[in-house]
Amino acid sequence: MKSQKDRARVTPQELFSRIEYHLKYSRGRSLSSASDYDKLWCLCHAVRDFSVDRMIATERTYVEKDAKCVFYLSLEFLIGRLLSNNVISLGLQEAVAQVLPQLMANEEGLQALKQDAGLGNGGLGRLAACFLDSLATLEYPGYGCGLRYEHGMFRQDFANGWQTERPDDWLKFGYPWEIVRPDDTVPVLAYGQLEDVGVPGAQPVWVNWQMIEGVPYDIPIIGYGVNNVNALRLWQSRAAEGFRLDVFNQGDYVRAVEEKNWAETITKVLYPSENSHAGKELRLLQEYFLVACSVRDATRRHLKRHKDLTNFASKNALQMNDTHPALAVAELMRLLVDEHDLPWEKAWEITVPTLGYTNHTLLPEALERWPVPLLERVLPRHLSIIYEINRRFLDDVRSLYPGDDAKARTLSVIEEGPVKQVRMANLAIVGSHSVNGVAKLHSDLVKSHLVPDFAQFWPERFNNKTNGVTQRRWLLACNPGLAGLITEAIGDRWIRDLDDLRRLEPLAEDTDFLDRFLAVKLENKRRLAKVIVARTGREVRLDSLYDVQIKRLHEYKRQLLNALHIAALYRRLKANPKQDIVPRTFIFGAKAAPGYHMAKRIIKFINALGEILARDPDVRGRLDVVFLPDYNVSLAEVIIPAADLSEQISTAGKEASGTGNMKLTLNGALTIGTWDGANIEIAEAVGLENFFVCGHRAEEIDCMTREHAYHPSEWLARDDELRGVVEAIWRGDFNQGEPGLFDDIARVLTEWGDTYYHCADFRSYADAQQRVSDLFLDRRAWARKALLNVARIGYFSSDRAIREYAQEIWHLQPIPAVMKSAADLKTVVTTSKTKKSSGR
Amino acid sequence: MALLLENKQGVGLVTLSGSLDASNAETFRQQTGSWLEATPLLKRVVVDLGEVNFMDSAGLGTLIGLHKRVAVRDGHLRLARPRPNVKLVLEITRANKIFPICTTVAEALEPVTM
Repeated sequence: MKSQKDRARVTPQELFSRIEYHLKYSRGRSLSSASDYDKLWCLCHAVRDFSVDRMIATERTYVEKDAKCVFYLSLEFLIGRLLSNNVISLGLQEAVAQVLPQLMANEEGLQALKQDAGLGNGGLGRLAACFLDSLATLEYPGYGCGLRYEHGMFRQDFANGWQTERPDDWLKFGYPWEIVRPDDTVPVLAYGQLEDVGVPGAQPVWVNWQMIEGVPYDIPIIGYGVNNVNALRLWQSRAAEGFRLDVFNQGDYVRAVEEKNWAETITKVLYPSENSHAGKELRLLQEYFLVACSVRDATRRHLKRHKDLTNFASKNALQMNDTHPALAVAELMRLLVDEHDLPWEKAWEITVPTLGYTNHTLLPEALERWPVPLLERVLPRHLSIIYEINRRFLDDVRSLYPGDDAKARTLSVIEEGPVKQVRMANLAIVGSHSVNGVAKLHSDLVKSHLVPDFAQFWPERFNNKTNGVTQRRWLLACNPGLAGLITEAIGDRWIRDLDDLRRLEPLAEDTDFLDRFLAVKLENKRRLAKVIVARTGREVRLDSLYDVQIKRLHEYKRQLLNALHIAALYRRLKANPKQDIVPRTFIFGAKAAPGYHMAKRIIKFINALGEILARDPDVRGRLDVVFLPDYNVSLAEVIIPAADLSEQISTAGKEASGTGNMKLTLNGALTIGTWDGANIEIAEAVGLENFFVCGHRAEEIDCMTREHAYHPSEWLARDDELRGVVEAIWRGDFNQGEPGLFDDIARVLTEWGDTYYHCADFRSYADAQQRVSDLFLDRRAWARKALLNVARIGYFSSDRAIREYAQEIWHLQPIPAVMKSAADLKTVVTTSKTKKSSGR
Repeated sequence: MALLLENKQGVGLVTLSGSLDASNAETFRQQTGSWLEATPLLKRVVVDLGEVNFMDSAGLGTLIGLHKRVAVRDGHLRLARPRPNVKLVLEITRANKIFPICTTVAEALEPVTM
């Protein structure tokens, strides 16, 4: 890599010239006639311009060095907004700051116009985005492979406290970061049948298919402080030439166009996260479309440098982010066997070392299964390949466990039953050399509970890669106050080496520093309070404890437990209005899947609580509940820096990892959390004395479940406060004149068995909350613990996670992009003065 | 689609241009069918795809149909000069396993060596 000194600084004048150029020649505007949106669009384009030389140089370097590349296949990439991050990565902050007045634009005004690229539901998609940032920053050759959904995650509003959804139109005005690559369009075939055409020795031919085309759009992923610019390649579907011409020629023009449109619906909309998409044909097509485009793309790139695919595995790694891209196993086999004439055994020797699978869930209902009849209709050739994979695999199983039919049934890729199903997790495991969970507990539970027979069969395949988050977005960009304070104290090495935060530890004893740390938090709370007023009309106290739970709404994540505690505090105050309590603002951000009725009812319940508290003079200003609508990455970037307390209270054994827990800790929040997912590793890293642990452990929950020993009524009977809350729900205290509105919530907690153990964990949680309140009264003691949390969170950088993936699964080497021309060098200024040399 | 049917010293040469798809598959089927009926001794057929810029599943179906009609008379069919996108479709569907594919028409016209 060229040293920082080798790079020329981009001056504000140069940046302004680029913006003017785009205003004139890309938008057809003068500065005086340009709208704010024109200015934003051209600023983005100008910033993108400064990455293009490096993107070209990066690709050239990878080709010249014949670098091994990873293709990260994910149905979701929750990249949010890119401008701030790209400005920081390119070191253009000062230039942008100076140019904005010339543009007659202010940052807040432009900020309001930016659209989130919400191409994901939650953690899985945001993880993929963080990983891309780390891949580029660590100079690893890596490409994101995803879908260019026309409508990303739905926009959420509240109507009378109920969630309503409307489509997300993030592409409405175009997207300045993407570069369309029509020359790289690929054909994708689906539907049809396999037909034996009567040629001796020839395999059946795939006939009567429909052809769809995949058009790639590249978004540059700019490494921080390095020359490497990787790409996120998003595929858009469109009808191939001649699509449904038979219908067209029968004179049914409208139907022909409808069917043409249908081909384009494949990438029309991101499916909201629900437990299962089983049976949803369009979802299957999306998964296949991503896989078909990406595998074709990877092999095509390979064949530009190599005569055939026999060494494909040594030059390429394909990582499947959850089972959604698991058809990659069958697609790569199909391509190797059918198109490249490799013998089955040789193709399998290439496929398995190429593929890796990351598991993201322990919920059995969330494990994908596709009905065989559906696969047979949509992907006949792939189904025949899956059958052959399974046949050969089960031969191995039977030779290891002769006569053990039960074992074979458990391990089989095909689940028998009235309607046969293809188990995508089994397919992914059989076809991958690596299967990883995303936190230590989760990886252990994958082996012990989810797929124990596979773990016994192939113990060497299973490993753990604890998730991480990128500090460039989740501290440097979103929390400039804290980032500046840290850099002033210990330098900026942490931006590329988060472990360096450890050097903050001595400052936990420095009262001046702690006061400044608290001042930064207060400023961030002020910023959030403004957003709360703007979005909800609600004024909140800056001196209250900001108690934050932001994540998808799911019963296992237990927003309801939080709400029960709020209701309990409310009832305490009503019973004793003069009671002295720590003022709290409970801040929620969450979207519920549109078809998930209980989740939507919980949102309504929390909003109802908020209304009641806001109206009641006994509690108003002492307890406030704010549910911010339309939670997304950009909102998270405002909430997280302001949080005092991070709620991570999933039922133990249910949350794979979580990454919000890491982001909030990194920004100086203390955590109240169950012994679940990555909470455990965070607690161990920051010290149990600096973490509020609550609730039953996974093994205790598991034991109660297995022995049918959990009876919520017993827990209610022994806890007056909890019982009082549940009785209040039954009584309709929170119903606002709508009888029976929350009866189902009461039923969930009682008659329906309390699947997620709210009652069992309530007391422990409420007691931990009391300890939180007690500590919050001592501001410096609080600040000391919060600072120690920040100082000790370094392990949870996505840089560490990506190094582990690169070294242990993908076997990648960093390949610094080589800049050859003077123009190449005129691209970047960074604030980084140091660079980590380890891990190379 | 433009279609030219010729007899090249005992080998039938079908030269196509444009697209071979659902809009013209029936025409192709009828014309090649009539031509085969009129030349009962013709056993070898070459389809020159060099000027075919698009083929869909209906188009592929016509080639498979032509292959079957030639096979009935113990003959066989070769394809010549498919463009990359058409060749890719033949590979994806494994049709390339039933039709020998030649890079030139001259090569395709050469006698079959067993």
